[in-house]
Amino acid sequence: MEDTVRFKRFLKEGNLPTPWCPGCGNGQVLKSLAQAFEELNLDKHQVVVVSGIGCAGRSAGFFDLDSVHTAHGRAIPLAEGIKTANENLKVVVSSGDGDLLGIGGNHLLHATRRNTPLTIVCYSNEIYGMTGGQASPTTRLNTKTLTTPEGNRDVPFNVQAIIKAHNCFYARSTTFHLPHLKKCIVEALRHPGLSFVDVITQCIVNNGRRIGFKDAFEMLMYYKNNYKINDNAEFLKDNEIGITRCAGV
Amino acid sequence: MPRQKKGEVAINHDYCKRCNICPQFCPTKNLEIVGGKLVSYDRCIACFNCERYCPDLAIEVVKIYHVETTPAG
Amino acid sequence: MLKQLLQGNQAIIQAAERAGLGLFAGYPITPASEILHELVGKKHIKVLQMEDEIASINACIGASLAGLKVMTATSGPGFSLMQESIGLAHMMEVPMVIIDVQRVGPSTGMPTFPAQGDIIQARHGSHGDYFPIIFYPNSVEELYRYTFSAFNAAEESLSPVILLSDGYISHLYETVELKDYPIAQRSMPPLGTSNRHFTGLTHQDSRPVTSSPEAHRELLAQLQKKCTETSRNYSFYEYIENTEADTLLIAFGALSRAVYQFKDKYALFRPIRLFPMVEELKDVASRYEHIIVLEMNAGQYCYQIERLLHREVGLVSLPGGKIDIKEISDRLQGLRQKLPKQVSVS
Ligand SMILES: Cc1ncc(C[n+]2csc(CCOP(=O)(O)OP(=O)(O)O)c2C)c(N)n1
Ligand code: SF4
Ligand SMILES: [Mg+2]
Repeated sequence: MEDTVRFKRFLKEGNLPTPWCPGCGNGQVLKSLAQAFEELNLDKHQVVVVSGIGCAGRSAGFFDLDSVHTAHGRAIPLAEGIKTANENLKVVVSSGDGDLLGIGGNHLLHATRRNTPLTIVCYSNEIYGMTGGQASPTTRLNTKTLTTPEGNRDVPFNVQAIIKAHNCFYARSTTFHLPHLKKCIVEALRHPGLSFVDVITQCIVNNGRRIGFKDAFEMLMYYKNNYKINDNAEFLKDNEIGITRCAGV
Repeated sequence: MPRQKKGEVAINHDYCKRCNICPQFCPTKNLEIVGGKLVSYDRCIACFNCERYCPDLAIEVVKIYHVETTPAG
Repeated sequence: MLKQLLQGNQAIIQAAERAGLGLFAGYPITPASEILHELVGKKHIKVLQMEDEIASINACIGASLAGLKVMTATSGPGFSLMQESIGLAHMMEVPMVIIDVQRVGPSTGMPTFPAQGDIIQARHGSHGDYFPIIFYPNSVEELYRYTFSAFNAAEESLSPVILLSDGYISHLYETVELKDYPIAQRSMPPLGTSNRHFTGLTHQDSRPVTSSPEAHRELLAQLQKKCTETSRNYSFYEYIENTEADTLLIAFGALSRAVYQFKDKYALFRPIRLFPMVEELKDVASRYEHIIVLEMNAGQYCYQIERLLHREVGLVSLPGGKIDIKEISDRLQGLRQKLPKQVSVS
């Protein structure tokens, strides 16, 4: 077996294919998570994955370890319950931007205050994918969606500022920068307190195609051209990805 | 002399959703969707781009190691 | 035997501690807050004050799956917020105890006044079908005793069990003998031991099944069977027979204590397990010409009883937190004259 596929031991291959659309970035994030577990050589019984509801929320069911698929927005408090009950477990939240920042936004705010040792991986596709493409908390200004036909007028959620306000770990990457994405998740898993990895990922069907992208590849190329890696910033600019310095350690 | 094939691309057609990401990442145009099916030719240089970017775990690249042989005599 | 003067909410804590409570997550609300306050600082119990009741119940679900016995306590407004996740806990088969100390609603209502307005919410508050086990004691001693039952029934049924109280009995002080009752142990292995997938989606063998009516019906039937069968081991009620009487009064919780006043004139039945409804009531009710339900709401349990007994049932509805013997007596008098006689007793 090539080293490149050893991470598959963390996945339930029998449950594949995933329910995601052709070209959806969720599968790339799923793989990156499993690769990060593999890189840290974690024991399957040491990790629990928790997700909420949405396309990204389906990710938990593909890990070959104990996993929980909660109600919409509730992955974080449920994960905090697990971590409080058994602090030896690595508890990973794997869910969507709408789930974590919209309906579950208040939980995120308070989890960062408590600095509960969780690793939260947010599939930021800038849309409510599963429900057909409504504006989500991370939808960019002026973007047209089902619910913003004239272009989005609301400022996107500044998740970086929120996470860093309470000195938690914040990293951002994209599904183009896969080795970097894996590194972000690995560092997040190593962080002793709450860590948040913001993954910019493509929803081609209910977002990308509607705003002019031909296919998933074109979205990945956009990430490639638009984002520069900066792994030593205090605070990332809009067009930067990286692991920010964390005062909380 | 044609370039030697350095990798074997194994495609799992049950997992492949024909999203057309891998053919566009392949530097040697070794992958193509033909008639609704992903096919692989013999131009693989084992760069692993297709495997890495496949969202559906449908591709595995296996490196081919060529043993240098010196003619006997 | 140790006897202590305890407040109702304190009695719940005493029992929960002895039943093996490992984690409590909650959010302050009158008249349930004492439970949160007094658990803080207990050595072997982890206490989380969460940002709201939704977070509280979800933290409980997580901790329960991770192997601890868990509990949360709230009142009507918070109980409403928990409803979605109560359905989740049923679907994922998570044992836990939920205390709902009822106060006058809807909405903020009258926070310091007792009520019984959450009966239907406790039974049907979450969407979809589920079959919760619900107890409603009427004294401090009973809050102590049935807290044990709630923990045990939760473990046995692998479901969230609801212990209803009200602002009256939870704030009452009475002496309680702190007896030891049998304690059920957790049967399910904790998280971090396997590769199970707990999901609120319809599922089969730990895998989501999102488009099979057959699979859904099978799952529902299995969940119903489990809760119904468990409930048979917890058939709690009080029946005070009165062979002279032609009318059976049904009451529970705080109000049932006032209704004891009328035992010379009426027979009394007090369900302690409100749901699944105690079957014994059918037999008891068949001995009386009239049935009257008294409750501190607009008739929530009365409708359930009509459905169980298939006969007309009188209602003395007493919302608003007032329990007045004279008023109850007058209302009973007036109602009895209007009630039809039962036609056949078979
Ligand atoms: C309480 C509740 N409200 C609404 C929904 C419907 N719903 C399902 S998924 C979803 C949006 C998910 O968006 P996001 O978290 O961004 O995930 P994505 O599908 O984009 O991966 C919504 C609103 C629900 N399941 N539950
Ligand atoms: S709708 Fe979007 S996010 Fe959901 S599976 Fe399809 S591409 Fe992915
Ligand atoms: Mg989304």
